[in-house]
Amino acid sequence: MNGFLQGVVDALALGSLYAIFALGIALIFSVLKMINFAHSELVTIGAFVLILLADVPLIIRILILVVVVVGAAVLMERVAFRPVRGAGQTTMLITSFAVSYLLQNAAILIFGPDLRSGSVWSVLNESFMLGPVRILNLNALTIVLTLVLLVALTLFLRKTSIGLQMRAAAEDFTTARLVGVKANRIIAVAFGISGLLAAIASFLLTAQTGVVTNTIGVQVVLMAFVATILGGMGSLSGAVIGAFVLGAVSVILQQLLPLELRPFRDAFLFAAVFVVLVVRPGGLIVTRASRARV
Amino acid sequence: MTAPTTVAAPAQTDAEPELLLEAQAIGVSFDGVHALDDVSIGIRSHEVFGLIGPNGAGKTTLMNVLSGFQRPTRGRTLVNGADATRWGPEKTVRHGVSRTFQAVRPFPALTVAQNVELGALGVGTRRRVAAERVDYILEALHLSHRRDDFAGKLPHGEERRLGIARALASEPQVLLLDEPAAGANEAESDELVASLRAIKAEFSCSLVVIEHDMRLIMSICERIHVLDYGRSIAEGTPAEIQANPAVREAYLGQVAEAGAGES
Amino acid sequence: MRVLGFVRRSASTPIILALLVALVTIVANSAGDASLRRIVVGAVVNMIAVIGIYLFIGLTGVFSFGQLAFMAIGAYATAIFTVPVATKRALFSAMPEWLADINLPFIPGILAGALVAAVVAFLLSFPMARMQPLSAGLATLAILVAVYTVAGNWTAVTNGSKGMSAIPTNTTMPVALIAVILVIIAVWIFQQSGLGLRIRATREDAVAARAIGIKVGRERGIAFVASAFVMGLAGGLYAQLQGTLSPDAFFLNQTFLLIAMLVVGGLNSLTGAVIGTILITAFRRVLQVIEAGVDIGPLEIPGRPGLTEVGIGIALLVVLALRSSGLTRGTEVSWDSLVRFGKRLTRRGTPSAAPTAAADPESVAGLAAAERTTPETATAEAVIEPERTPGA
Ligand SMILES: Nc1ncnc2c1ncn2[C@@H]1O[C@H](COP(=O)(O)OP(=O)(O)OP(=O)(O)O)[C@@H](O)[C@H]1O
Ligand SMILES: [Mg+2]
Repeated sequence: MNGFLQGVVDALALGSLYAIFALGIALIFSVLKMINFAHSELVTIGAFVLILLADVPLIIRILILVVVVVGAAVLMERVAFRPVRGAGQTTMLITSFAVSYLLQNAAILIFGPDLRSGSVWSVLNESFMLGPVRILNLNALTIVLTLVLLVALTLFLRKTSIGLQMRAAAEDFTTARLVGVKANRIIAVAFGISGLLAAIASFLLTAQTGVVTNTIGVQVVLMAFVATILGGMGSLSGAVIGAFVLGAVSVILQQLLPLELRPFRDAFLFAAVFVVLVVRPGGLIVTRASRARV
Repeated sequence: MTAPTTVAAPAQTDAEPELLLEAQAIGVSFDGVHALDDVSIGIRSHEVFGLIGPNGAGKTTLMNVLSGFQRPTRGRTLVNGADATRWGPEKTVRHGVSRTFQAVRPFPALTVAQNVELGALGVGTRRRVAAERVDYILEALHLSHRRDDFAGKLPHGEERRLGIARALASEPQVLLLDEPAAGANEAESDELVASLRAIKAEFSCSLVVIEHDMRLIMSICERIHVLDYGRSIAEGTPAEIQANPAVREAYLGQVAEAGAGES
Repeated sequence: MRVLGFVRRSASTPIILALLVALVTIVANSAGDASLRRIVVGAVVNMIAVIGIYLFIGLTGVFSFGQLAFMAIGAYATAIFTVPVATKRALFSAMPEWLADINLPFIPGILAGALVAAVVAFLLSFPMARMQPLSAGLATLAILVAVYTVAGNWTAVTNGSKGMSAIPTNTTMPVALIAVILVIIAVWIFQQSGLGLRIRATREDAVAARAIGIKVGRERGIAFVASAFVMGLAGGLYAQLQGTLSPDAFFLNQTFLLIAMLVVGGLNSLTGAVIGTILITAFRRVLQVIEAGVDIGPLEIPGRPGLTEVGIGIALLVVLALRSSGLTRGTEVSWDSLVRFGKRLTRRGTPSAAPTAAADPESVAGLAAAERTTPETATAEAVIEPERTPGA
């Protein structure tokens, strides 16, 4: 029973981390119909900020983190994605892949190929007991932050004017434009929010690993992609559900797989995703925008 | 795998034998909105059948149902008496029901000849046969001079004719045309009428024509069916339709309005 | 005379491409030292892989990150089939008997490797055909990760992260050159065939393709399998060129490089695949030399790791922003097009090709252009699956 509860907490924590990544990707997808590969590099940038500035007081570091990553996200949109906005989905996808690759290697060019380590906030690596279950502070923070983010994002999309415009744009950009939604502004704001999500993600990820490499974001973002596909492209709630499903399945596989098969966990995971997509080709949640007419 | 284009033997059941294509009590709803409600039509061989109605009446939706693109919520479709409700477009066109699109949808980066050839290849026609058909059809639709041009480069009128040519290449028994004259001026529309008459004669197929151009509809159709808000409001000869007060009220009035707005 | 006419009209493209590849290869090969020669053979193998990617992405318009998974499968399979039995016993002790006992000569070994890749693709093509194009594209990423994970951990067959070694090295320059020319010819015939036309029609407009009876999922599946076969071939040649294999050779970095080649040349033409490979290979070579550090007179640029990759990334972004359909813009080189091009040059005009509306992202038309391409690639399938339309 305790093992089970422990597993539930682990799954929630992992799912939460995936969810923060997946939300950033799903948000951009919903307005731009583009999968942003370079989301992982936003996370990497954040990780570099945190580790390189390890001596700066935490609060200031977090401020710098947010400013830098949000700035990078907005800049990325302006420089790389806006020029190809009219050029079709494949072009945008390749562009984001190229930006990702470019930044990954720019990190090597600037910081060298060596791994750098540093502590983000040592308190997070301690743990406390909740009844019979031992919970890492970091995991608790991850879960709580995710909940807060979900509530905040929902309120933003439902209650604020720009949030409503964003939802209209996600449904049908052409019509949204006709009623006065400003594409550039909406997209820039979406990137800003995805930058914020990436900043938070990089904080949680770096606190966990304590090191940064030029590909730190890639592994988790791959998972987040899978989560967004699983959830149904373009649906924010789908992305979150997909992320938690993925987190749960990872933890279950990790516990149930025999030792000699554990290295193959990711292979099994991706195979499972494949199966889901066969049964529900559109993902778990099919949005109105993902359907079209003849 | 590609099935030969044999046409299913007419099943002599309850269906009227001479009907090539039927829609029986079709209902379609999108998220609770009724796009079609209890609509029935039957297409006879060698006839030109008009389908008219104001914008959003459900004409294209009915065509989607007939061509297998849209599975109806209620009712069924028959092709040569066989139940085709669950066929999908790939099978429907193999059984002799071909269609064009309101937005034409050519294959822009392929040549005009390739577009038309594909109309035949798609239903499993041999390459040699398909190639011969291309010349003939391009000739019939006055597109021969465009043979090797990219379809994406055609001016609007020729693009629409290409859409018809491609649909014709499968040698259908029934050709469904969604607004073939959209955007055409009077002269072009007259030319189109001539082409459609020639197609009907030479390819010996029935035509189902959706159009807002009343002059065209009245001049080529033998029977006309009128939809309004997803319901059938009349069916009859052009003369009957023109005289029908319900049609005048529901439809012609709106056209006059729209026409006034446009000009 | 009739033969000449046929060549001019229908067969000039593969002939021109084959001549171009042969010329570039032979010149580069005779100009450089042994290390350059090796690079040239590697580039030829890469070209086969780029053509393999083109076979799927270029012909179907469905994007895929996963084609290198099939290159990996072909490479490992070829390695397993061609390493001598005694060597396998000595080096890969964990390998099952029946596998270790297989021993094929070079060419059958490579073909068998490619066949294994094609069979795996065949099995995967059924679920793929059911997905919407965009999901399918990302599902291929899942395939890539899965194959990478398996290659890195399945010690009994792939020797895990240590990789395979002692593979016979038969991929010489002439072998690679003949292989790429055969592939160019085969792919050309394939794409001009009725099947190839049908596949390209699904790329142009999947809805219209269905309306004329084309089974979109099936045609995409065929292209997927054909692509996997060519990727497997490239993988086998690669294994026999390097003599060693490790999973990293078939992961994201290499995927990026090959896709960059295809995109720079132009996604939608065989000519694009060939020209893109040549250009990016040359550009990369230059960057690599700079990265190693150069002295230009008084100016001394120290070596910077990462420079090559950054340079290629920037090059790709520039091409995407300025000419997103690549240098060829989806058109094939042909005798007639060369003649036209020559005439234009003498008249001093700017050459331009196939129809692409350069869309200003700010204008409504620009966005509309985006909308026009978007729904039909991402969503057209959904429309048409009527079961899903009412009340999902
Ligand atoms: N896939 C769909 N999802 C939701 N609603 C739809 C869909 N397709 C059509 N409709 C709705 O069904 C109704 C009928 O549309 P349809 O396109 O059939 O009209 P139409 O008669 O062809 O009009 P027009 O003359 O403008 O072409 C419209 O209200 C339309 O908005
Ligand atoms: Mg319509």
